[in-house]
Amino acid sequence: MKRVVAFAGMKLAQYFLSRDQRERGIKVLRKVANFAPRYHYALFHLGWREAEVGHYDEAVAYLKRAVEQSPQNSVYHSFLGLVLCDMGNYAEASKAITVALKLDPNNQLTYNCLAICHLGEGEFTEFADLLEEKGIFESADIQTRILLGLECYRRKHGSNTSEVLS
Amino acid sequence: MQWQVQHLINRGARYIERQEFSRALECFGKAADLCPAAGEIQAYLGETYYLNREYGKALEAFARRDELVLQADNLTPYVEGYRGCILLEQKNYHGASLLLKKAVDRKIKDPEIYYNLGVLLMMEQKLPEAIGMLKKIDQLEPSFYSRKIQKLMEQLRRRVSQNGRATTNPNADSEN
Repeated sequence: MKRVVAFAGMKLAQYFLSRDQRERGIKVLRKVANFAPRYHYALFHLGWREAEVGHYDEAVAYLKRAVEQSPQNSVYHSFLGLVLCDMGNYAEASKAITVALKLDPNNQLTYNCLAICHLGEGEFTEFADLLEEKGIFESADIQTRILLGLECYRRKHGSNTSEVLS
Repeated sequence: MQWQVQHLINRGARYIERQEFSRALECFGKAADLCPAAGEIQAYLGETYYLNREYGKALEAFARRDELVLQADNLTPYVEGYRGCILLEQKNYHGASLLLKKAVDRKIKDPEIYYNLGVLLMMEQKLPEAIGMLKKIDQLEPSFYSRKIQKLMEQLRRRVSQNGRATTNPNADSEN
């Protein structure tokens, strides 16, 4: 019964989020997480939504709880790694992504997260080789991070203005 | 009201012919009050101020006219947006921010301008807002991300390999 109520809460949260009512959606997700603290699906979504609004500490806490409740889920580990990359915590991100790869060695999403981690650490060649080998995952969340990572790398390592403007 | 404005403009023109510039200014001034968005009236005002030797006011009137003409032009927010992109590349972040935000506020449909504002937000350490800005591009041009990623990777691969050649053969220039 508890699971059914929690699932209904999830649907309500998704309804608000699909209508760009992010704060309401997050509020409902928090209630679901409090009501059903072991419901990893809610914990995962809440963690991701908290990251979207920049609440990184809360995001990591919820994603870690999701991982604790469902340790075999490679996607949870991958997204935890991605949020840790957003925070600039590449060492921890790398650990999470390594776990995800062990769980599912064929997951393109996870390889893209690993590539983003490489790029954040300034390892452009490793990043580029990995993306060439595994391809780019079809997700705005991943592709926007790749683009921003590339821009950050380009500007950090000295941009040649004439090259850029041509 | 249109006929009233036209009547005032015609009267103003007649006063100019008679060299009665102060009266002409009165007419054009009233016309401008009735129709403040008309660039044409500001042009007449500017001309009359000039003839009346009030050069400062003439320049102000011409500047107002330029602003009105630009505001009415659909391309203006795009031009401002691209100016912002150029300023970003030139590391003029404050100038870039003003122009890019202005362009995006006018709800233009150019992905490159949203992209550059996203990059600027990232440089301002506002990563969630940067990602949100880039995600808007998905609706405008779904192929933008992959095209941009390919282009950036090509540029950076070239630069990395050039740097690699310079590191392995630092005396290349002196030999040549």
